[in-house]
Amino acid sequence: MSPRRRPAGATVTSLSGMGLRSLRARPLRSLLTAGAVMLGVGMMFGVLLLVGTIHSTFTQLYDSIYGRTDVVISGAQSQGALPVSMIERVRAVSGVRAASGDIGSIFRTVNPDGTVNRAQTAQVYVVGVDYAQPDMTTARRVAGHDPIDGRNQIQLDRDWAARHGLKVGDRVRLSTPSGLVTLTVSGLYTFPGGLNLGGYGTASMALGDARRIMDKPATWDEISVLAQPGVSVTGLRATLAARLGPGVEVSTPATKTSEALDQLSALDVVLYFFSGIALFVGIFLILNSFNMTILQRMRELGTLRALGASGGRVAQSIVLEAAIVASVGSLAGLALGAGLAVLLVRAMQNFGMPVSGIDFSPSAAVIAVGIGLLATLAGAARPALRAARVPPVRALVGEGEPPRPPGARRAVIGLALFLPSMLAGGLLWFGTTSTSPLIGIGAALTTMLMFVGMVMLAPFVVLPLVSLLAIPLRWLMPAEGRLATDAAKASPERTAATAATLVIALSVVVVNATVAASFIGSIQSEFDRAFSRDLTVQPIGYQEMGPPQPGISTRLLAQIAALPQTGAVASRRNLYLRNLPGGGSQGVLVAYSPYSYRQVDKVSYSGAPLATVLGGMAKGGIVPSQVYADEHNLHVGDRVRLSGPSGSRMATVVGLADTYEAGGQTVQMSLQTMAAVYGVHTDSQIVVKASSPSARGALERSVSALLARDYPGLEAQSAAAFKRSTTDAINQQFGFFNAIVAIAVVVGVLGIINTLSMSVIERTREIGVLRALGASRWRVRRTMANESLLISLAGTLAGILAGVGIAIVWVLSMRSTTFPGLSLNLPLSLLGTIAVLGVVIGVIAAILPARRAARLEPLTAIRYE
Amino acid sequence: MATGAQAIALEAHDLVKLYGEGSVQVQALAGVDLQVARGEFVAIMGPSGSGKSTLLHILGALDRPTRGTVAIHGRRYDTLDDRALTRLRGEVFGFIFQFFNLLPTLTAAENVLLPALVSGAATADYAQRTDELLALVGLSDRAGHLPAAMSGGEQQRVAIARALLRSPELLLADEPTGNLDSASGATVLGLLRRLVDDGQTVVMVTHDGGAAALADRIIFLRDGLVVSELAGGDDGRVAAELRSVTASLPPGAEEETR
Ligand SMILES: Nc1ncnc2c1ncn2[C@@H]1O[C@H](COP(=O)(O)OP(=O)(O)OP(=O)(O)O)[C@@H](O)[C@H]1O
Ligand SMILES: [Mg+2]
Repeated sequence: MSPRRRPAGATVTSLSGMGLRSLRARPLRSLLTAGAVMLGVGMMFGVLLLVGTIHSTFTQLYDSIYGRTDVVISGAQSQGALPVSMIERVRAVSGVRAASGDIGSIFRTVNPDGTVNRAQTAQVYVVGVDYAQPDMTTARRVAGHDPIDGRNQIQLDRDWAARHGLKVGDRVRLSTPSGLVTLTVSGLYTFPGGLNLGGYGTASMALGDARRIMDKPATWDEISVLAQPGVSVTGLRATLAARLGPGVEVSTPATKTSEALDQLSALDVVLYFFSGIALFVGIFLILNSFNMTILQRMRELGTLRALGASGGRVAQSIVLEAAIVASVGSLAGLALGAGLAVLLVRAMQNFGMPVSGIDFSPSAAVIAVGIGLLATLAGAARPALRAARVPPVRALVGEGEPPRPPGARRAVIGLALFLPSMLAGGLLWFGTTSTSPLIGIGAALTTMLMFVGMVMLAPFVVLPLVSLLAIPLRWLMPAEGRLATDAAKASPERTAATAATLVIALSVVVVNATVAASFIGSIQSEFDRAFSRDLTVQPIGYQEMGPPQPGISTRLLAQIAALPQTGAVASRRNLYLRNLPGGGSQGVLVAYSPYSYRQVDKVSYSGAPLATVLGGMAKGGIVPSQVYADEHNLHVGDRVRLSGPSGSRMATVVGLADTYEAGGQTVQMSLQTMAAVYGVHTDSQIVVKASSPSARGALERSVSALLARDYPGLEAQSAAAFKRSTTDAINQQFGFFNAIVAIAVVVGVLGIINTLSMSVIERTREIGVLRALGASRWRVRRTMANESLLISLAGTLAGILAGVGIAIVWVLSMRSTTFPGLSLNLPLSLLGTIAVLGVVIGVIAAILPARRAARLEPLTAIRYE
Repeated sequence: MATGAQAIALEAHDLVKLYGEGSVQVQALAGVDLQVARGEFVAIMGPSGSGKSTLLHILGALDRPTRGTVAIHGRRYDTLDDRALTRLRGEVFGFIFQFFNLLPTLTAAENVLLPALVSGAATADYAQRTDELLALVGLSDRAGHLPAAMSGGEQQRVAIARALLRSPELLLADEPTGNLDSASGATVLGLLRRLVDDGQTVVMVTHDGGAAALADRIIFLRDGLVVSELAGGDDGRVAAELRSVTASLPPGAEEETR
């Protein structure tokens, strides 16, 4: 801005007008500060929108499919299947007007070449229903008629059909649990609520055809009940629950919805936490920004005081400036957040989550802006107080306070915050298998406290690191290195606070990566130890810990057994439960036939001789994992109640399994026990061993060929591929979290630019002298780049140190609580990448300020007052 | 205009100001007594470090004395808290600085309006007064200019207008011409003299004998004490007195006087 021109805008007649003018006088700093607010608010808003969208999708889904249903009957914890006869017992209860059972499965469309389409949008949730019963959903038919049983007909959701170019009368080839089938579209319907599952379709079929195609001949997944008019739903629910027994869950659509949302709440908290980090580190950029402004404006502030401004008034003017920055930053953040939400929703869809188009809720915007304002004010509070204390006589002196080295008190408080909250944070995040959101909130708050401790400790780590890094730098570039080091050390507090942003952001990335690497390492060693299988056959996109997965036709086991290259084959049925028997924490119920599974995987048991364990399992006994047994104090010989939709019985603990599968949260039993209690009759996975190691290749080829021909919805993975896909899933999840945290790293870059441009202003005279003495522009640039590198590398290294330290403590605490088999694995290549990133950040951050410095004319620089 | 028996505007008694503690303690004022009549123009002179600025700060409510009393029109303010002092600064005193201290982001008019703005007064009430004051200092045509676009003398005239905005009972100036060439300095001094002639009370610190001579009375300070006093008007006598006050300093200290 040329000082010769009249300033733009209205005449200043208010404090905020003055603030605006003052912000305009320092455009780069104001932009960077607003940028930090924008990024923080943006990520927060994006995640709020994502969570809101997930929630509204689920709410809409449940509203649509339950419609006017009064009571929903399903297996306990919504898992496991109900016996087909149960519907008559339900209808016999007085007060029940109608009961309609259904079974469901996921089908996929097939490519022209006969392979299954793996895209998310190729999936369709199909329910098999009895059309003679009243329809309790909100579906409204828009074309054709209901499918007729025995004619392989299907009725499709109109939007999905349109996207796949399907009309009434068309034939569609789908991959189903019983293989490829061709169905005729009998009708189209739509949900009036405008249900949008982000590409997934819904469909319905007649019950008889569905039972055959889904391979669920004698079970219901759910029974929907309509109460007689005037009958109390609460009363009916209680009667049904008493009548149907403990393994059956009798609930209402509302409870179903809130249960589903509760299940998500732990994830919500984690997402909120990671999205909050950018705003949190943004506070330090804001703090630095305003501190610098105040230092620069000491004389101005003193003048205001001499002209009759009270300390409070001066503080108010700073707060007003902050509020202007916050408003501009937050508004831009809303725009950014809307864009980020699109990306986040897409990422969620890639994880297989059915989420619809974004639900732009005004409350999310209000929350994000509110938090953005609070964060800005939190950052500006200390500088404002400092401004208020500027004595009026400063007007005549007009210089800043000399820098003070960080005191011992700070170190003590920092440690007192950091150490306990690090220990508590580890226990809260990982020390319990409970998925309660309250624990998640506690963990997030504790971790924020830990960050505050880290910030207080930052100078004690960052400044020595700066000195250390200065050694090689001065050796490489004696002059520039020296100047840069002096500059970085001239304002120790500022250097430390700038680096602290990176320390926090990168330590989170390092902790995420280390925990992921440790999980992966442990899972891989578990594979190597316990799995001797050569092939795993499972549905495409199979998830062990998740909602009911499509089953595998029971015919496949025999088909694979008949292959000449097959040495041994066994099936596994996995059922995820929120409350495993005998304890009550979440985990996976695993069923297999004890004798044949041993032929494929190396299972080792303790607590009883092998023959006793196998025999006991076959007779209905259960085998908890050692970890689960320790956690819930279960011993061989204990009796535990098993309750499922098909039955309820006592079972004896016949041995303990030496396995860390699913983090050790497993209980094993025979296929018969699972079928009898939980009504599970289809396989989740089929594991195969080749007749000889040399036959592995041939085995994989023939199984793949068999699947391609009959079951394109299934895939066969070699041991290596199976390991890889499990690893990929973990990496993807933590990668998603780290992508959210990455925006905080960007804030860190802005922080360095901000600090460097202040350094250019402070050192204008020095730079001018250098130039007058013959230093080239290039040398001036290098000095600035060096200072930038010192800060960014010190921050990066401190971030790595902090991250590794925290990760070690957390992994160890996990090992002593929820995950005994966990071994620490440092992601060395990622740590290396982060260190390189530190250099890149340093160079990028220096570009603008260095150019500014290099452009200074020797004379202007010397005249600068 | 001699002192005579006119009403007393400012009265300071036995002002002592100590800076620091122990071995580094400095006694900037060692017991200053001073009276300024209403409508009087008093200049303060003395060698560097004699306590002129310190005295002016205390008189202008920018700082508090360690000991002693100071009152404006009979109202004491040496022991007031920061809130009360803040009010006085806004309403009773007007301060002019050696380095002008205009806010670089505000135009001349906005700078003049600043005291009203920062003390929370309704700025609209002062719009007219701002115009009048800018006219008074001869800068009506520069109202919309930023300080960086003005000469030092113009900036100081804006600062004087700013100090006058709320019609202060006492106008204080610390070396107002110290940073100006002689022509601009003369304009500024002429302006101050004109204000005094219209009834304004002014206390000014200066190193310039010629400037001091425009005052009604000149006070000489040394080592934190009032050592002598002269009536204004005669350049030569002022210069001679300053020389004699400075001469009794230990050798070497003289160079510090500008
Ligand atoms: N904040 C302070 N802390 C310590 N000593 C101070 C402080 N302010 C002033 N002094 C000391 O008090 C004495 C008087 O200072 P003062 O600024 O009043 O002198 P002055 O007469 O205005 O000098 P000059 O003509 O150089 O402006 C000096 O010795 C000075 O060093
Ligand atoms: Mg002085």
